[in-house]
Amino acid sequence: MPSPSAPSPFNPSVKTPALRIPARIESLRSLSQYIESIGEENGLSGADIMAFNLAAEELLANTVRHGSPPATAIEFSLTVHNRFATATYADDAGPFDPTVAPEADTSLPQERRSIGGLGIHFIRRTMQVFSYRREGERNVIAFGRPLSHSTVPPPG
Amino acid sequence: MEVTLEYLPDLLIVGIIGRLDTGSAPAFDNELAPVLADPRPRILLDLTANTYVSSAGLRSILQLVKHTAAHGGRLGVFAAQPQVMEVIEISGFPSLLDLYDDRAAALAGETA
Repeated sequence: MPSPSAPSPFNPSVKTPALRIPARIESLRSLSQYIESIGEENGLSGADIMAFNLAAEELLANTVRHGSPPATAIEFSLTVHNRFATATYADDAGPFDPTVAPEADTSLPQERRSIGGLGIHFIRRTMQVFSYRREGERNVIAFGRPLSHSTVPPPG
Repeated sequence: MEVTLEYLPDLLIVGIIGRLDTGSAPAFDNELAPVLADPRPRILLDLTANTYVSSAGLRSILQLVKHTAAHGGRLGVFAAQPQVMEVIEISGFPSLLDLYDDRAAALAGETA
């Protein structure tokens, strides 16, 4: 469940409900429930929710797989403003920038295909924004895109 | 996530119910491992009830692609939901397998 918005070591300026979860694969369920909940409240389409779920899962998997020193917790928020959805993902692992990961070559034949880089490839293909910064003891990744077709009429 | 296995003559149909993601892909791989101990050149993947596939899920599907190819065959996939089709397309997988709209088309394709 989203926690009340309060200053935290991760992001003192957060104003929307954020999710704080242990840095474990088991946290994926909480992450996707949060994204679906915020997404439905804000008129994200199924495609938008899917794209944010894929990106968040990829980042969680990278944190758990590559964090060195390992992460203990992740903080995640999804906000919508002016029909643009932005997610912020932060972990407390050692420095790791997933935005510079080499991209998968999707044209290779099956015997030469691997899955390395595919998740990041998705994020680059489905998000307009995908950026990394190191803030103190945490990795902070922002990603987002304009809302696609929505069933919720715009205000006004 | 649940896996269903349907054995037809010279054809295995593997169904995925639910999400195939980082959390469930290992269970999928474990369920398929004993089945893939025998050569299976012809496998169909039934995605009717599959709601989500991430890169971890694609890794599992790629293992089926490689297994069938290694035994002279090819993986077929049918009834992918639109959001899953988008993932398959972005990943470049359509060139690695046969895509069908539904079970009937897949069976017709496999026995053609």
